[in-house]
Amino acid sequence: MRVTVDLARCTGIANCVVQAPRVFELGDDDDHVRVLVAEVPEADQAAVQSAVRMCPQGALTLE
Amino acid sequence: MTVIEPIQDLDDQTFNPYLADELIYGDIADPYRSAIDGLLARGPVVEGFYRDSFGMPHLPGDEGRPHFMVLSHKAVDHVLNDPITFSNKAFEQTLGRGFGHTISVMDPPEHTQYRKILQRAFRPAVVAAWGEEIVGPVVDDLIGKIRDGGRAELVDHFARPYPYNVIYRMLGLPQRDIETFYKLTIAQIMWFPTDANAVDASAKLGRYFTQLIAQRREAPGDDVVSVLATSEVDGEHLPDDVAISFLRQLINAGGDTTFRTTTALFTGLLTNPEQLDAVRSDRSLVPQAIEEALRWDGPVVAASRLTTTACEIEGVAVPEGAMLDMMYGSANHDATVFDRPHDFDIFRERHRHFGFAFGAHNCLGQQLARLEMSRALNALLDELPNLRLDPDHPTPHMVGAMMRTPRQLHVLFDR
Repeated sequence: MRVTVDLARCTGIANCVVQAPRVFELGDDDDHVRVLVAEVPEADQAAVQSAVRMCPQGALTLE
Repeated sequence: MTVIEPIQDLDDQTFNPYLADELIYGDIADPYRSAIDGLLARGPVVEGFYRDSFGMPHLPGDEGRPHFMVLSHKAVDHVLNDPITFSNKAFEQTLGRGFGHTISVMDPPEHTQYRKILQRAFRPAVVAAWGEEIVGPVVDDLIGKIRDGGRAELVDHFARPYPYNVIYRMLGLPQRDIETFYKLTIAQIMWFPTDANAVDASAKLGRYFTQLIAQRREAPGDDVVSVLATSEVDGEHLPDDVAISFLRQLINAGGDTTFRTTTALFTGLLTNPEQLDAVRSDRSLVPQAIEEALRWDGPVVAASRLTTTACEIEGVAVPEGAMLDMMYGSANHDATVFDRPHDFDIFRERHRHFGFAFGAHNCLGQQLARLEMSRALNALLDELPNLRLDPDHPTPHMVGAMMRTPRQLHVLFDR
């Protein structure tokens, strides 16, 4: 499973960082979330799916 | 150094902020079954006014415009995804009157630019630090006042003061004046029967925040006002009117909405004791309990949008210049998405809810709100053993057509 962030939509609310901190990160000076892994580890897949569904900007996509 | 003059009281000495709810949101126990189900059965988008269901007066700005209710989950999602066609100028005569030129009345690209700066003041690391320095001590203080009694009323003695005290400490407002700040905070959104109190409260809070911003600009710290006072867009300060409007909105929205959803969370759990027991023994369920409270009875039943062009929403033609009731309460109770939607069920399958809206204008403070609710619930379960409803009082239920809370929430606990 891969997950991508649409930088045009992401505003750094960072719900995904709270839900799946091993997959998403928001740097101190960043306005957008970064994806830390190329492939989402199995242990994080449920949290990532939830983060995608709940993203308040609709900025996350599963591939 | 700028010396800040004390906040001035509202001119209208008869205004009682604790009685405001009944005045503006009505005494409606269950708008879902009594009105929203019936409206949603008529279609995803229906011409008319939600407020007519309860004989409530129309909003300033509604006059002379076509008016529709956006009801289904899909239709609400569609509108919130398109902030160009569906404009927040809808709030100019309401929120704009009380708060001023806030980001809630702006559209992209102006909105995008300011939202980005304001969002920086609410980063996850900042919110986590507030949890330790501000939220935790406020919770401890409130629980300390009720812990020894064996019984308590959780609306007036916990949930209402709680988020306001968090905001007051965040802004560093003087403790001796907090009753005045509370009165002005609520008066800002009084558009009925006249907007005289809203205009008066807005001017007084504006004068205070102008001085506060000037002071923090001279000697900035790490606090939220300093961040607003010193932030820059393309080398320019955040305009004072935008910063002041944001603070007017923050003191209201950050208090009122969190208070209401906290009471929804407590009401949902206390009236479903098996779910309360489940959360009590497994705290990893707290986040999903919070999301369910936001869905089941989120803070805002209805918001507004204004169409900038003729358009179609879920197959329904809507003309340009139409005012829309954005029925978050209806979308969150859409049975095609949520099974048994009126039941509070922390174990239900999770779908997108509109408790914090969605899209460009989704709640900027939602991480803080979640943190506050989580801290409150955990503290209640830790510090008030065997917390349960007091059987000597009627079973509590949420009240209000627009924004909701139970009037009282009487509980017992072991000492």
